[in-house]
Formats: sequence, C-alpha cells, structure tokens
Amino acid sequence: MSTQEANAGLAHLSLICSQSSLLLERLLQTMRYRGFTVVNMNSTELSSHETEVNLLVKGQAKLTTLQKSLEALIEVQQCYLTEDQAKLATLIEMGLPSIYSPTQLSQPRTMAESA
Amino acid sequence: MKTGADLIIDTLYELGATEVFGYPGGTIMPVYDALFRSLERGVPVKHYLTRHEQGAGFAAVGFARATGKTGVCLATSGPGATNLITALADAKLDSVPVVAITGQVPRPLMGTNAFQEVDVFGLSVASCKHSFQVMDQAELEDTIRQAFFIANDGRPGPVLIDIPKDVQMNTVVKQSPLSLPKRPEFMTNSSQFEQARDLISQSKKPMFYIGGGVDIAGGTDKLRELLNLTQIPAVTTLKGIGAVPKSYPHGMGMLGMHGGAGANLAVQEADLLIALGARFDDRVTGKLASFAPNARVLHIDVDNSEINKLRQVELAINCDLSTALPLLLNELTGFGDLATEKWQPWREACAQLKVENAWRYDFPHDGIYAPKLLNQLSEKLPDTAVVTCDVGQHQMWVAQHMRFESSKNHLSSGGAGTMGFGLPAAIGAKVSRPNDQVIAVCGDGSIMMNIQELGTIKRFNLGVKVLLIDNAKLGMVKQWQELFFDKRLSETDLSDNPEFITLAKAFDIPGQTITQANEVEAALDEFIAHDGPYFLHIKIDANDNVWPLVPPGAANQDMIGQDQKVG
Repeated sequence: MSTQEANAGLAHLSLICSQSSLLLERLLQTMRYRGFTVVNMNSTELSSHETEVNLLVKGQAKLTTLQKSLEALIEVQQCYLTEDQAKLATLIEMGLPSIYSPTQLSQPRTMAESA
Repeated sequence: MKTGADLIIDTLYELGATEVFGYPGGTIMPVYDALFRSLERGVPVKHYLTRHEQGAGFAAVGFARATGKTGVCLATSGPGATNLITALADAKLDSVPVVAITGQVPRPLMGTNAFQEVDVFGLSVASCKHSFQVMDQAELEDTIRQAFFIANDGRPGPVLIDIPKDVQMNTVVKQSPLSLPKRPEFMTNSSQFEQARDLISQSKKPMFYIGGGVDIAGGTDKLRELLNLTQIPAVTTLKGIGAVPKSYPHGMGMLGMHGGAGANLAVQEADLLIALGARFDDRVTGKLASFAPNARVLHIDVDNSEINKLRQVELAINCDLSTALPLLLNELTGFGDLATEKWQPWREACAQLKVENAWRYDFPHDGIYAPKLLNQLSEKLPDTAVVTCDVGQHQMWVAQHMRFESSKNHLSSGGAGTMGFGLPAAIGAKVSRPNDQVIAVCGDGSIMMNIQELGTIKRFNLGVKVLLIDNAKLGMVKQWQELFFDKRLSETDLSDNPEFITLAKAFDIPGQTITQANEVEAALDEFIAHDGPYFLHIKIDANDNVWPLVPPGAANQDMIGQDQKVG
C-alpha cells in the first residue's frame, strides 16, 4: 500500500482554543458526530488562556462541515485544516507538530517554513 | 453579604429573566430559597412549578419561541437534570435560546458517585450549544451573563450551567460584571449581494424556501417586503410556517414529507431556490439527489456549518438574516417590472399547481375529520393566537390545515420531533403572552407523555386550551406500519387510553368529548370562548391518515396519496 493510499481520508486539524474544562470532550464529540474518528491528537497549553490542539482525523464525511462545526464552538478561536496528501505525509513524518507558529497565530506558516 | 444563590437570582433579574420554570430538589435548594426571598429582596423572579423537569424545560422552550426572549429552567442534580436533557436537545435542534441551571452535589462529593450525582456537564455536550460548571462563586455572575449571550448569539441554542450546592451557599461579593464581547460583524460584501441579484434576475422560475431562521433572526418584516417587491412564489419548512403572510398570493405552503403536493411539485420545477434560514433537512428534501433537480441555490444562513452541508450551492452568504435581508432588498429594488412581467408565467404555473392540489375537506363519513376541524379552528382564531403541537399525525395536520401570521404563533417540535412537547410548551407560551389565546393541539399518544402538566395549568389558572385529537393509536407510526411494514401494527394500539375528560376534571379543568362532525362547530365556539383552561376531546377515525406522504428515500415528486387528500 502506498503512503497516499494509507493516508486516504485523513486530514489534519490544528485548533487554537480558549481554555475550558469541557474543551476536549466537545471537540471529540463534534468529530464523532460529524463522522470522523481521531487517529492521533495532542494538546499544548500556549498560555493560561489558550490551548493548541492538533488532530489527525479520518473519515469520509464532509471535512468542510466538520471544520465549520468546530469553528462554531465557543472555545475555538482558529481552525486550520490540511487535507493535501503530500502535506499530510510530511506532517505524519514529523509526528504531527503544529504547523503554525504559536507566536504568530494569525499568520500560518507555510509547510516549507514548517519543515 | 449575598450567597451565590442570591447572586444567581439577582443576575437573572438583571437580565430580564423574571419568569422561570423549574422543579426543586436537594442540590438546587439554595436557589429555591433565594427565589422564596426574591420579592422581599426587591428582585422578584416568578417561578412556575411544573410537575416534571421535562415540563419545565419545554415550558422554557415555549416561552422563548413565543417571544424570542431567553427561556430559563431550573432543576436539581441527577434525575432532575437528566429529565431536562430532552427539552435541551429539542431546543438545540430548533435553535431556541434557553438557559438551564442545574444543581450539582457539593464540590467535595463530586466524582464519588454521591447521591443524585450525575455528570450532567458531560451529558450536556451533545445536547447543548454550550455548558458551564461553576466551581467558584466569584464566577457565577459572569457565567450566567455569558450563558445568556451565548444562548442568543448567532444561531441560538440552549446553554446549561451546572452549579455545585456549596457554590450556591457560599457568600460572594458582587463584582463588576464582565463586559461581553460585541457580536461580530458579519463579513458581508456588496459583491455577494450583487451576485445574488444576478442569480435572481437570471432565473425564470425562482422560489423562496423559507426556514425557521427568518423569524429567529427577526427578519420576518423584511422578508415580507421582499415578497411584496418580487412576488416570487414561496414555500416554507415546518418552522418557517407563519413567516409568509396568509394573504400572500404566491405562498405555496409547507414543502417536504407531508408538505402540500403543489409546494413539492413547484420546488421540483424551480430553477432557483432562495434558501433563507433553512437547512435542507431530510424531512424537507426527500431523496436529496432528486431535490429541486433543476435549481441553482442561493443560501443565506447564520450558521456556516449548514452551508454546503447537504446541498452544494451556487452562492452562499454566511450572515444573520437581519443583516442580509435589508441588503438583499436594497439590491433588488427596481425589480418591480421584472416582478410583473418575467416571472408571470411561473407564478401562473405555481398557482395552477395550487389549484390542482388544493386541500379538500369533503370527507365522506359521519365522524370528525381532523384536517377539516383544524381548518375550522384556524378560521375562528385571531391572528394573535398561539398553537402548540405534540408530534405525530395531528402535528402534520396542524401544519397543513391551519394558517399562521407569525412563526411565533406556531410552536411545533421540528428537529427533535419530541412527543409531549405541546402541553408544557403551551404553558410557557401562555406565561409569556398572557393576553393571547394559547391552544395546545395534542395527540392521544403524545399528551400522555406530559399529562401531569395539566396540574401546572390549574395551579396557575393559565388559560391554556387543550384540543386533543384522539384516534386511540400512535397514528403516525401506525400509518407507516400500514404502508411500509405490511400492516403489522406493532405496539401502536392505545385503545386502553384513560377517560380523558374524567382525567381533566380530576385536575379541575372542564371539558367535553365530541365524536360527530355535526358537533364540531358548537364545540369549537365553546372551546374558544371559555374563560380559563378547557379540554376538548375529539375522537376521530383511526383510519384517517396524513396525506400526501413522501415515502422514505423517495423524491418529493413521488409522494403518495396526493389523490387521497380526503383520507
């Protein structure tokens, strides 16, 4: 099986969220409800108010609906979606680090810079 | 010094929530104590004690839907809170601003399987727009204010606040309230509305597809201006009923599974759907791939996740309709000539579909034909009357055969389809609009799910009228069993129903039973004229079904029974 085939249906989401004790439950419930399973995830506290959550998800449902549903959650400030297979392969190789600089949240780095 | 519970009541009062619904219990007792003292403390909050927490939840929903204000309900921890969940799920699916406050076991006992401890915070994840658990009394006021903001912001929905008992009991110093974020300006640009204008002007067969979002956004008046300007035919969803005025000559009624045949056929012919605050629900579209197959779609909705979720659209405008409709109206000014000329053949085609598929009420039996009765009732009621429904055949008959001047006057559990909704929702509606006639149209299956709320009606002497349509069946399920399960009528017989009028009288509510068509006129007159609560029990033939019907998985043009409109 090629890497491309293995990654079919995968997408990476990077979320910047405000802190909440219910945050991860709500994110995971939204993933499941919108038809995705979480393959991998990590969460990093950026400050006392902000958390970055990175998720590798798999599913055949509409990613745009998932992304918009996540963006509608009160805690979610920013949501970046990567479904390009080549970029995903790079991300997976890198162990799913954030593709965005925590210090420049509003300006996502390019994959080249990230690599 | 105030307690946390006092601060809860103070904050509700300051937010204008002076009427709340609930049911006391162990962990919410401090709040009920504060309610008891609220009048003497100068912050009067009137509490309506229901007979079940679900009743309180639905009363809050009815209160909110009849007015647009935020409904508030209270319950204790454990079973009290879980009993609220159905109403909150209903509010989420129908986008209703409700704030639920639940007691929780004291903080030291949390996580110990304490008496009446349930993780309602966790339970609320899937059923609420947002949830809070307040672990510090200093955060109470801000949390309640945020909850009201979130419940109403963007697409409305329910918010739950879970508060441990000791947090309610601790003393707290009132602080300066949090400054809430301003509502974000929607990123609309004029080019979107120019594109919308172009789409509409290019269309030969445009159709408005109006959902509940129009009324929720306060956009009904602007919609009506738009209708008057363009004279474009319009269909509504179940929740959009009332947004299009009764007098609008090109109103086609409700579309979908039990929509009018004319509405469904017209939508299938349309070349442009202008979807406003609607979400292409499966009960509307039937087989999605075959829904409005010739139509391009212009979709305007406040919830971005609804756009392109089911139907790919040509133009999406993610915007609150209160903002979008004036902009669209402005863009279409000057369409008068187009309205009178270009679309006239289309209007005439729609009118023809309406005539060919008009409802008929000449049902050939001596019994009472519920659609005709509901149509008669509708004719007798003032435009300000509120009608709530339970769920099932009677609900669809109300949607088909009664006409409404406002979506706030037709309260039907749309998304969740919750049996037992009608009676408590009518209580909330009557509390919020005491001067308006409020009628709960119930089915005999549904009413038994919250029949205890007759006690609430009597306790507060609320002039809620109950019109019970009784076929001694779970009629809608029975209809589907007849059609799609080879007539195996599994567990849908309710012939052992209680004697409903005796039951109503046990709650000291007067009423009568009628069984014949010739009794209807006088009974409805007495029902409407009666001062105070009244229970009208109407026995109908169990063989009367709801037509037309789009079978599950079928396209809307393949509805069945459109030639059986008389039963």
